[in-house]
Amino acid sequence: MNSKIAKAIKDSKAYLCMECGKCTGTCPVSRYNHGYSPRILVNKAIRSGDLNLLKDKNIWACLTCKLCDERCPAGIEYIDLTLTTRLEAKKIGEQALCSHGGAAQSLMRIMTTPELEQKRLDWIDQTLKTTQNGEVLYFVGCLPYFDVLFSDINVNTLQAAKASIKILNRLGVTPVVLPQERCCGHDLLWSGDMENFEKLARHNIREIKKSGAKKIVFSCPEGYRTFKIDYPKYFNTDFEVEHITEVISRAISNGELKLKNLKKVVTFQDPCRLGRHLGIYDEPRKAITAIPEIQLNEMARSRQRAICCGVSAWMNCSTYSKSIQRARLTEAKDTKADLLVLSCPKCEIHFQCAMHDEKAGEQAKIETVQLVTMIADALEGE
Amino acid sequence: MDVGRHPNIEIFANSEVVGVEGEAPDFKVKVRRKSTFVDWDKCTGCGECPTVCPVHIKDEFQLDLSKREAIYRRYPQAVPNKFLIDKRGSPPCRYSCPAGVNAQGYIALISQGKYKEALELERRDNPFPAVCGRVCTHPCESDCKRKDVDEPLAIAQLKRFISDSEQELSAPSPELNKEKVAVVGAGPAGLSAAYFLAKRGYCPTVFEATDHPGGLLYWAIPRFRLPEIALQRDLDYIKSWGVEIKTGTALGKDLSIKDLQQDYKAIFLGLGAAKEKTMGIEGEDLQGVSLCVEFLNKAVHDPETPVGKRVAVVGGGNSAIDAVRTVLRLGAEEAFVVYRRSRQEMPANEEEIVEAEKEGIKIHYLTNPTKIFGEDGKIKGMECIKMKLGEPDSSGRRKPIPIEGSEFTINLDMVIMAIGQAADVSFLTKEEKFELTRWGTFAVDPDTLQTNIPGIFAGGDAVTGPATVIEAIAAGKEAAESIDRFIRGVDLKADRKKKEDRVKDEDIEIPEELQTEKRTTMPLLDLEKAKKSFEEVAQGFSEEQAKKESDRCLSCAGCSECLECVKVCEPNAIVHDMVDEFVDLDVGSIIVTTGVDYLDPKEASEYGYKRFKNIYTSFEIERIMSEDGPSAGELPLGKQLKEPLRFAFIQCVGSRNMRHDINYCSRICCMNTIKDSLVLKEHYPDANIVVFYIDIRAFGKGFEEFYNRSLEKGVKYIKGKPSKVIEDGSGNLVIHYENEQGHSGQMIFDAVCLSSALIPSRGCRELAGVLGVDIDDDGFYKNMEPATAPLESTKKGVLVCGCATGPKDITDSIAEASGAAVKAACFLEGHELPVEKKEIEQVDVSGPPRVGVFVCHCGPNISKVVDVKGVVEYAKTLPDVVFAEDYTFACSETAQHQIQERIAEHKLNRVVVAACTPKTHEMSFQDSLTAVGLNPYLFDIANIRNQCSWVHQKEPEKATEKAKELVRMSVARVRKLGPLFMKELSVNRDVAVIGAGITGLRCGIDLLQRGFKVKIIEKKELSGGLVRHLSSIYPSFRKGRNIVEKLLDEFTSAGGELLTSTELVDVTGYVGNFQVKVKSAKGETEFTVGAIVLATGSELYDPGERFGYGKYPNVITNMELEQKLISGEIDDIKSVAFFQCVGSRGDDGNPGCSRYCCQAAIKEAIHLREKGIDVAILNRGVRVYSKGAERMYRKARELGVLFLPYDGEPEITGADKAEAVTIPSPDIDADITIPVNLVVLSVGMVPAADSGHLSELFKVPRGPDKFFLERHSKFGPVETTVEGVFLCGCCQFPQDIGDSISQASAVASKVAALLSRDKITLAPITSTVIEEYCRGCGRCAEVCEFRAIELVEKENGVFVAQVNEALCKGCGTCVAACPTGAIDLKHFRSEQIEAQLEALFEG
Amino acid sequence: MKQSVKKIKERSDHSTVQRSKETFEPKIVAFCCNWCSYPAADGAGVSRLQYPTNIKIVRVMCGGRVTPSFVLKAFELGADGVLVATCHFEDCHYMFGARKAADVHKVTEKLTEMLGIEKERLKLDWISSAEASKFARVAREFTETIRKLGPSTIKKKLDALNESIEDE
Repeated sequence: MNSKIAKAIKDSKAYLCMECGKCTGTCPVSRYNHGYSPRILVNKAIRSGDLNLLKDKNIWACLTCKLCDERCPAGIEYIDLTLTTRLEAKKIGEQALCSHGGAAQSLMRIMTTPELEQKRLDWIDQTLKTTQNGEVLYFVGCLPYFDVLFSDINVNTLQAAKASIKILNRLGVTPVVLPQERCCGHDLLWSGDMENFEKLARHNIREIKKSGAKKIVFSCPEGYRTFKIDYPKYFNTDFEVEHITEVISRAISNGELKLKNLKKVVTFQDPCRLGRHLGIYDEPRKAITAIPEIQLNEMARSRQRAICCGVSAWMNCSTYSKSIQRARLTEAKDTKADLLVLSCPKCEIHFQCAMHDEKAGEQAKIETVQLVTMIADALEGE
Repeated sequence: MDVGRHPNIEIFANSEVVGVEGEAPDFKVKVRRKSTFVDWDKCTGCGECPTVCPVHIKDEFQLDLSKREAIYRRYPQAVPNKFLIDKRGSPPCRYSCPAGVNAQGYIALISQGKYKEALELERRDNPFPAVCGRVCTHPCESDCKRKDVDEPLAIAQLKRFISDSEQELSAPSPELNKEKVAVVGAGPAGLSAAYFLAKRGYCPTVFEATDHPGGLLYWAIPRFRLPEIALQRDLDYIKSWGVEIKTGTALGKDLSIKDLQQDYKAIFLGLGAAKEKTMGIEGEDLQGVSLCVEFLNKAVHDPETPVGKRVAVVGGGNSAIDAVRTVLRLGAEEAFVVYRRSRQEMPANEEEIVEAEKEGIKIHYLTNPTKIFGEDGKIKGMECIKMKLGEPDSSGRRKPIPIEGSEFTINLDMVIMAIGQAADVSFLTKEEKFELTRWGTFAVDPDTLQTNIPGIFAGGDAVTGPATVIEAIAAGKEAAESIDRFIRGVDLKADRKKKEDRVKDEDIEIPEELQTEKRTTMPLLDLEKAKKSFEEVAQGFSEEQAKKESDRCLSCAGCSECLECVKVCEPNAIVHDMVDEFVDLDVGSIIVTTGVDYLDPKEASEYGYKRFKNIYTSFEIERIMSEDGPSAGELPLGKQLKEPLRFAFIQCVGSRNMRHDINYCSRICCMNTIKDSLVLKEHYPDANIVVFYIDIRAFGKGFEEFYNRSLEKGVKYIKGKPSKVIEDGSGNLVIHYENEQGHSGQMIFDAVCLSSALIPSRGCRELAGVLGVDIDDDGFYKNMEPATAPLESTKKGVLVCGCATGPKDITDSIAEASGAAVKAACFLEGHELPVEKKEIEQVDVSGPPRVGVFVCHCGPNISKVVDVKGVVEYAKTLPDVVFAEDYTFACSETAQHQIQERIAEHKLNRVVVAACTPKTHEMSFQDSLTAVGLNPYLFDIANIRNQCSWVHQKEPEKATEKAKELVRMSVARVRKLGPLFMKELSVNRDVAVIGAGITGLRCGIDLLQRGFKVKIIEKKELSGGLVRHLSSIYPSFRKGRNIVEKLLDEFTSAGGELLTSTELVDVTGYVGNFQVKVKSAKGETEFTVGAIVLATGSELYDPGERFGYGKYPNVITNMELEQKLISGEIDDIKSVAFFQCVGSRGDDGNPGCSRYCCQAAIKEAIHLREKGIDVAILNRGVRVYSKGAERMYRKARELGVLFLPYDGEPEITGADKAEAVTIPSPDIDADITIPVNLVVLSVGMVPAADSGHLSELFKVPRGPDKFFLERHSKFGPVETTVEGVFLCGCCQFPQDIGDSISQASAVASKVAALLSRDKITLAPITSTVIEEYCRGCGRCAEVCEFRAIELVEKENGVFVAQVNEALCKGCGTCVAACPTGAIDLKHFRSEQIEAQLEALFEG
Repeated sequence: MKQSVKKIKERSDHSTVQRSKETFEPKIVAFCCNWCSYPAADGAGVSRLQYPTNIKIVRVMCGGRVTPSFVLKAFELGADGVLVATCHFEDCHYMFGARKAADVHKVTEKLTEMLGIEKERLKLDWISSAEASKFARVAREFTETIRKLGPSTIKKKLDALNESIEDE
C-alpha cells in the first residue's frame, strides 16, 4: 500500500471505523447524492488497493466540512484522510471536475509565478489606511479576483476587506496590505495540488516576513485555517494569526468599538473552516449581538451542527450542491430573519449563486451580509 | 461552400446555356461547358500554378483594380475551389507566324528571367532561334498589338536574346527508335522536318548536296548579319536530337529516289530554290554582271572576293541588301540599290534597310534597269527607267509601271542581280513522275505537303518558290506531322490541328494607365568599323534591355501557353489542349438567377470617371475598402492628405434617368452608399462625407435607422444631382451642384464615388431568346405579374429571381431564391434521388487510443516547405501513436484506400491527417473512416497547409516545427475524442400557417402543391388581410379583392384547410413535432404539425386625432380612400392632398419606413388625377423602388400630380371640414397653401397588436421595432431563431405585395425542404448535460439563442438543464456560461480543447 | 533535494538564455471560430499571405465558447499571447456568439490585468471569412507586439528555483 495512504489511515484513525454509517447519515452530500458515502470510502481505503480508492470519483465529492468528524463515534478524522487521498490521487493524474472551466485553479496556479506583478489593490481608496511595513498584516486573499470572476451574480466580497481595514483603522491599526500577496493555496491543497500549494505558501511566507509583520488578520476563514493549521504543518512559520471576528469580539469586550442601532432580525451561517475546523463559534455571535436592537435567530442547525454552503475548493459543484444550498437558505429563511449574516466569501458566492436563478424559489431567498461589513457599517461616526 | 458540398448540386461553372427545347417538366437543355484547361477532377486547388504563371492581367474580381495571373481562381473563396486558364485565342504574334511560334509565351518567360525555359518553349516550334532571331522577316512584329499603343515589340530580337543567353547547349537524349526517314536538302525546311521527326522518335537522315548544312543560311547570308557561330548553334542543337546529316550527297547524282524508297519509310524533299532569276535584259552577259546568290556564295566565304568601284544591286529583297552591304565591305567606293517599287513595298527587313542606309548606301526607288551596256565585253553602265505605281497586282502590292521617256543611264563597273530565285526540280522528273506546277515546283497537297507519290513529301522553297526562313521551318514542321501519320498509317488529313483563331481585337486588354514606351533599340557595331568588317552589326540585347522590352508585351491572349504551370502541377491537372464540351441535360424546370451588371459610369461622362483619378464606382469602393481588396482597405489616393479626407457620393448615376434609358430605381444604392459612408468613417473618422442624392430610399428593415446612424456620424446629405465633376489641376475633384439656396455651388473633394445604375446582365437578352422568355421594358426578365407572380417568367417552368428581374438587395434576393426553389420543385415530382445505404461492422473503440497519423505532402504544397518525413518520424514518438505514414496526396483515392487498409491492419481507433484545412477534405476522410466501420468523429485534421506551409513559405525550419506542434495538438485532441452518432427525429408533415392574408394563402398554396397538408389559422372571420380592401394594386391595377378570391379559391381547391375566426391558444413541442391548440366557436381542438409559418401581417397606424383626423370628416386614411375608390364616392372631390409618412420614419415612435405608402399613394393619385382631380402629395422623399414603380411615378408627374416636400406637420385649416393645407417651402421662400376637399393620410404599417403575445407563444423574438426578428437580416430572412418556425410578409416588416408573395414562396420552400424528409437527421455536435453536475441554474438556457435548452424539474424543486438536440446548433456558448462544467459541447469538449493547449505548450 | 534544485536551475538558466529578447520566439495561441476567423486563416494560406509561425490556431465552434478558463489556462501553460478571433457581430453564424465572446472577453481582460499580465498579451478581434489579409495582418502585428513585450513572466516549473528553501 502507498505509504502516504497507510500513514494517513493510521493518523486519521480510520482503522477504528466500526461501520456504523453515522457519517453517511450526517453528511450533507450523502443526503442528496445517494452514491456517496464517507464510510464506504474509509473502507475502500482500508480494505482494497490504492487505485480502487484513488480512482474513485467520490473522493472529490467531499466538502471537507468536517461534519462527519464532529459526529463520528470513533473519532476518525475523515477529512485528513480525504486530503491525503486527494494528494495521492492527483499524483496519478486524477482530478475533480473544476467549476468555471478551471478558471479559479488557473488563477491560483498562475499566482505561483514569482515575478508576477499583480494589480490587485485598486479597491483601496483614501478612506482606508494601509502600509507596506508593520506589525499587523491584513490578508486580503482572492477577493479581488472573485469579484471579477463572479461579476455576473453581483458578488461584492471586497466589501469585507474594506470593512476589515476600516475596523482595524478604527482600532488604531494601520495594517500591512501586500500588493504581491498570493492566494493562500487552500483550494489547491484541498484539490490535491501540493506542488503549487507549496509555491504559493513559500511566496506568501517570504513576502510577509519581508514586511516585518508578526501578526496576520484574516476575514477569510479559509486563509485563516490555512495559515493556522497547514502552513505550520509544512513550513517553518511562527506568525500570530487571528480572524477578524476575533479582533472585533475582543475590541467590543474592551469597549473599543461602539456600534449603532440596527433593528433587524438576523441569522448566522457558521463557515465550516471557522467553526468546526477552528472552533470559533462565539466570537461572531458576540460581534453580532453587540449591535444594539439586533435580534439573532439561530438556524435549526448551527454551531457544530451547521450545514456547509455546498461547494469547496471550486470543484464538483453539482445538483447536490444546489440542494444543500437551497436547504440551508430555506433554513435561514425559516428563522424569520431579514438578513443572513456570513463570514466567509465562499459562503457569499455560493449562496448568491444559488439565489441568482429564478427557479430557486422564494423560500430560499434571503438578503445576505458579511458580518464584518455589518459591523463596519454599524460603527459609530459612520 | 455548402452549395459546393451538397451531393445533389452539380455546379457547371464556366458554362453557358446554348439551347433549350421542350416544355415543363421536360426541358432539354444544352450547355456549353467552356474549357477550363484544368481537369477539375484532378485539380486540388493548391494554388501552385499561379506562382509560376508569367502573365499578369486585369483581375475582374478586384474590378480590374489589380492584376491576376492567366491561371487563376475567380476569388479566394470561390466554389468550386478550382483553377482555370484564361485563354482568349491565339495571340497576334503567334497567329501571324507561319510556324506558329509562341512568341507571347517566351516573351512572358523572359520577363520572368526564365531564359532557359523561354528557349525551350521557342524550340517546341522552331529549331532555329539563333537564325530567326537575326534574319527572320518577323511577321509577328507586323501584327503585334503594341503597335496600336506605340511600337511593336522587338520580338525577333528577344528571340535572339534567349538564344544568345544559352550558356550550354541543352542536349536532349533522344531515343530514336522508330522508322528511318530520308530528308533531302539541309536547308531550314529539310532540317526542320528532320528535327520534328527526331522529336517524335524517328531516325531521320539528311542528304545535302553541298559540303555544309544550312542551305542559304550558310551559303548566302553574310556573316555580319548571321555569324557562323550562331548558325552553328542551331545546327548543333538539331544534330543533338540525333539527326544525321550526310553532306556532299546530291540527289540525282549520288543517290536516287528509288534508293531512298528502298531504305526509308518516307522521304522529305527540301530542295530549295537554287536557280537564280535574271532580268532578261540586254547586257546581262557582260563581265561585271553577277547573280546575287552566286556572288554571295563566294563573298560570304572569301573576304578577298573582287568587286567593282561603282556597284549597283538590282532588287529589293534581303538578299539585295545583303549583297550591297557585302560589296561595300569588300571595298566598293559606291554601292547602291535599284528597286522598281517604293520603299513601302520593299520586302527587305526594315532594320536591314536602315542599317544599309546608315552605311551610306543609296537606294533608288521606282527605278528599273532597261539595259546594261559595256565595252569590250565589260560593263560600263546601266540604263534605267523611272517607274510609277499602278493598281495592286496578284501579290497585293501596287504594280510598277514604267514612265515613258524617263530613261537615264548610270555609270557602273558592277551589277548584281538580286531579283529572286526559282525552284527547279525538273531534273527529278526524269526518274519519277513527279507532278509539278507551272513554276517548276512540286505540286503538293497544301495541307499535307505530300507529292503525288505517296510517302514522298516536299516543302520549302522547292514548293513555294523563294520564301522566308520561317516559312521553310513551318513547312518542315508540317511535313513531319504528315510523315508521322503516313508511317503510322493514319489518315493524313483527318483532325489535323488547325490554326487557333486569332484573339479578337476587343478581347485584347490595353490598360488605361499604360504608359507609352518606344521599342528598345538594339545597340549596333560602330558604323565605321561595321562598314569595313564582317563582324555582326546588331549586338544583341543586354539582359536589362530584354526584360524591359518583354515587359512591354500586352499579353494579348491571356494565357501565353508557356506551359510552366504544367511543370509544377503535381496532380497533372492541366490540359492545355482541352476543348469545349457540350452537355445535354434533362430538367424539370429552369431557374434564372443571372443577376445584374453595373452601368459603366463613363457613359455619364460629366462625372469624369476614368478621366480623373480617385473617381470610383460604388462597387470599386466595396473592393477598395475591403481588407482583402487591392489596396488592403485603404483608399489609394496617391497623395498625402493635409486635412481630413473629403469624400463625395453621387447617387443615381444612370439610374432614374431617361437619358440613359434607365427608367427605374437601382434600389440598392442608397443603402450601399450609407453603408460605405459608415465604413469610410471607420477608416477616416474625421472625413467630411457628402452624399448628393435625389431621394434617400431607405425602405428596408432597419434601413431608416441605419440612415439616421450615418446622419449622427456626421455624413452630410445634399439633395440634388451634381452637374459635373472636374479636376482642378492639383488632384482635387471639384463638384458643381445646386446648393440649398438654389445657387450654383462648388465643393472640393479628394475622392468621389459614383453610385452607378444596375443594368440587366450582359447577355441576358440572348439568354432570354434561348430560353424563350420575354424581357421587360427595362431589359430585365419579365415576370408574369410583378405583384402576384413575381417569380414566374412568361414561360411555364422557367422561374426568375433575384436581380434577374430587376435590382434587389440581398435580403429580397435570398427570399426570392428560396421561393423560386419551391416553384421549381413543383415540376420535379417523382424525381427524388435515391440514397444508398449499406451496413458495415463497427470497430470497437472502447479500448485505449491507437492513433494513426497520416501526413500529406499535397504535392509540393506542404513538402516544399515542411519536412514531411520529419513530421512523420516525430508523430511516431507521440503518445498512443501506433502508426504514421506520408502520402503525396492524402486526399487521392489511392491514398484513402491505403488509409483504410492501415486502419484495419494496425487496429487504429483514432486517426489524424495532417494536410489541408478541414473545410476542404474533412468529410472525405470521415467517409473513409466510415467505410471501414470507424466512427467518423474519431478523427482530426492538423491543418499544416493553409495554416502552415502556405503562410510560412520562407521559414521552412520553423514551419516544420510548427507542423509538428500542430500534429502534436491534433494527436492530443484525437486521444480525447469519442464516437458520435447521428440522431433522427420523426417528422409530422403537416403545416400550420398563422394568418390568412395573401402571404399566408400564397405560402399555403405552394405547400399544398408540394404535397403537404396545410391548415391556415385566421383570427378574423374573413381571409385576405389588408389586400382584400384595396381598390387596385400597382403596377397592374388589378382589384385587391379579385386577387384574394383567386388565391382563396386555389387554396381550397387544392385541399387546404382554412380555419377562420379561430384563435391560437397554445403551442408546444419543437421542430417536426409542434402541438398547436386552437379555439373557435366550435370549441378547442389540438393538432400536430411539423412546421409553423407566421404570416400574421401588420396593422395600419392609427392617426388618432392628429391632422384633424376624426375632427374633419374629409380627413381620411389611405385605406379609407381605397374604400371610396371601390364605392366610387369621389365624384364631388376637386382637390386632394396626401400626407406621406404618417406614423412612419420616426413619426409617432415608429422608426422604420413603411415601404408601401409612396407607391400606394402614387397609384391612388393617378387614379384620382385621371378623373380630373387635383392631387398634391406631401412627401419626405419619394420612395418608389419596386418593379415598374418609377415609371408609375413618372406617369403621375406627367399627369400633373404635384409632389411637395415637407418637414414637420402641415397645417390644416377649415371650419367643419378641412379646406386648405399649408406647408412651408423654404426653397422658394414662401409658404404654399393648397385648397383641398380631401386629405388622405398615408399611414404607416405597425406591428400587429398581438405580436407580443405571439412572440411569447412561439418564443420568436422581436426586434427593437417590435416586428418579428428573422434569423439573419440578409441570409435568413424568412427563418426565425426557433427551428421549424418561419415568418413571411408584413409581420416581419412592411413589404409591398410582390415582396410578400416572394417571401411566402420562400417560406414554402424552406418548410418543404425541412419536411420532405421522413426524418430529420440531427448533427451530432450538440451540447450535452451531465445531470449530476447540473445546478439547474438556467444560465445555459439564458444564453441559448436557439432555445435549445430547457430546465426540467427532476424532483421537487430540483431542476436540470435538458438539451433539445433538434434545436441545438452546437455553438457551445452554453458551455461558457455553465458554472459547474455540467454542460459540454460534443466534439469540442473542454477537455479536448485543453488537451490541445497542453500539447501546444508542452514543447 | 539540493542537487535536483541545482539541476533545475541549470536548465532554467539555459532556457532563460534561449528566451532572451533577441532570440525570443513568442508562443501564441489563437482561438478561432469555425465560421469566420478559422476560414479567414485558411484564406490567408490560399492567398499565400505570410505571417510568423508563432501563432497556433485552436479551432472552436464559436467565439462565445472561449471562456476565461481557456485563456487563463493558456497563460498558465506558458502562452506569451492569446488571440481570440470571432465573426463580426453582424455576421456571426450563431447570431449573438460574437457578442457573447466580447462580453466574456471583458471579464477575462480584467482578470488578466489584475494578474499583471500586460493587456497587450490578450487580444480580441473580429475577422470575417473573407478577411484573409486581415487575419495575416493581425497575426503579424500581434506577434510583433508580443515580441516587443518579451516573454511572459508566467512560466511554470521554473519558479521553485527562485525560492531558497533554507530561508524559511
